[in-house]
This record gives sequence, structure tokens and C-alpha cells, in this order.
Amino acid sequence: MQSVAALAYLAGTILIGGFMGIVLWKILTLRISLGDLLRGDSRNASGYSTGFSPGRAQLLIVTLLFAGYYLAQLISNPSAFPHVPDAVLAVLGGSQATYLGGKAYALLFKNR
Amino acid sequence: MKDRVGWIALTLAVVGGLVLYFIPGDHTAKLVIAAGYAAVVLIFFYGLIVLIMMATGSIDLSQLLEDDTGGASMSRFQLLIFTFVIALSFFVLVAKTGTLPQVPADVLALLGISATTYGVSKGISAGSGSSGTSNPPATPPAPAPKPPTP
Repeated sequence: MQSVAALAYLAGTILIGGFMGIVLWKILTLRISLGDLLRGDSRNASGYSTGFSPGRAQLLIVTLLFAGYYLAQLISNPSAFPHVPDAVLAVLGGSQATYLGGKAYALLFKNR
Repeated sequence: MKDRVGWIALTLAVVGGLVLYFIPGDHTAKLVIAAGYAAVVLIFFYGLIVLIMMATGSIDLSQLLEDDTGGASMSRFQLLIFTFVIALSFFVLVAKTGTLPQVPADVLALLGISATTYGVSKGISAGSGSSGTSNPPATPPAPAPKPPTP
């Protein structure tokens, strides 16, 4: 059965690595567009426009920092899921709330 | 051509089964191993087909991160990053330990936060009527006049 497990490990590595590689390759070759990723919607008298969104920028920074932290924890101890401290979850939650609050204010309440 | 490939596959499966039957050893153990190999090979080829279709563009990923306004969505991007990270950690743990790991509550909370942000973001966009255009909403057509009563 160990050979079946080894084959399954190889197959899983190819599939998961392949999927991540394809998505990353398409992002790098602009086939998956990241245009306007940091531009937020805002409403004005003439309709909708987009401008640089600090809420989106902080969410991007927090997301990338957390992903790097999580992967570093996994590499240092690959025998269990990395523990996510409550403080980190609180920071993430606050970051999401800031992003959503800014979006809701810009789209639902501003210029009404 | 497709029929020929099907017949070849069927022949190989029957020959493989007969070879497995006549190999000395416990039949139950051989059956378990054969089923394991068959499952791995089938799942791998299903996944490989999906990967090839993604790579060639048959499965279109160009709008993977787009929201209703046509620009990239930050909440979708974050959900993608967190899904990749947690899927990778899950796979590494299964490969290391050989068993399905217990998913801790903080990891579930992480995915929940990300998915909830995506859902609420969609709700906000839908509630604002954002459609990526600055045109005013179309007025409904005037109702047809009633026919005169006799």
C-alpha cells in the first residue's frame, strides 16, 4: 500500500502544483486581469467612478503578510496546521471590516 | 478513433485484471491494492484533463477575479490566496501524516472571514446597483392602452 500512497502523493503534487502554477502563470501573463485591484468604486453625481482605495491597499498588504506568515509556520512545522493567534484573526477581521465599511460608504451612502 | 481507444482501454483492463488474479497472494489484499491504484489513476486523469483545459483556455479563467464592474475584486483575490494557502497546508499534512488532519477552528474562522467578506462585498455591489456603467437605469415601457369597452 505504500506504493499506492506514494503514487497518490505524486498525483496530488502534480494536480495541486499544476493548478496553482496555471493560475499564477495566467496572472503574470495578464490573462487573468488584476486591473483596478486597488481602485475602489465611488459614486458621484454622474454615476460611478473609480479611484485609488486605501481600504483595498491595506487589505492587500494584510492578506499577503498573513499568507507569508502562515506558509512560514507550515514550513517550520509541517506536522500540524499552523496556529492562528486570536490577535491575528482580530487584525484580519478589522482589515475586512475597514474594506467593507469603506466600500459600503462609497457606494451606498456617499452623494445620496 | 475514439472507439479504438475505448477497446484498447477495455482490453488492457481485462488483461490487467487477469494478471492480478493469477499473481500469487491473498486475493483480498490484491483487490484492495488494485482498487487503490485504479482510484488514484482515475482521479489523477480527471484532474489532469481539467488542468489541460485550463491551460489551453477551454476553461476560461480570465474572469476569475472580476467583479460585476469588470475590474479585479479584492475579496475574490483574498479568497483565492487563502484557499490556495489552506489547500496547500492540508495537502502537506495529509502527505506527512497519512491521515486526514483535524481542521482547527482558527483555520475555519480564517476561511469563514474571507468567504463572508466576499459575500458581503457582492451584496454591497448588488445593493448599490453597480453595473460598471454611468447610464441611468432604463425606464420600464409604458403599459399597453386598454381596448375600448363595447
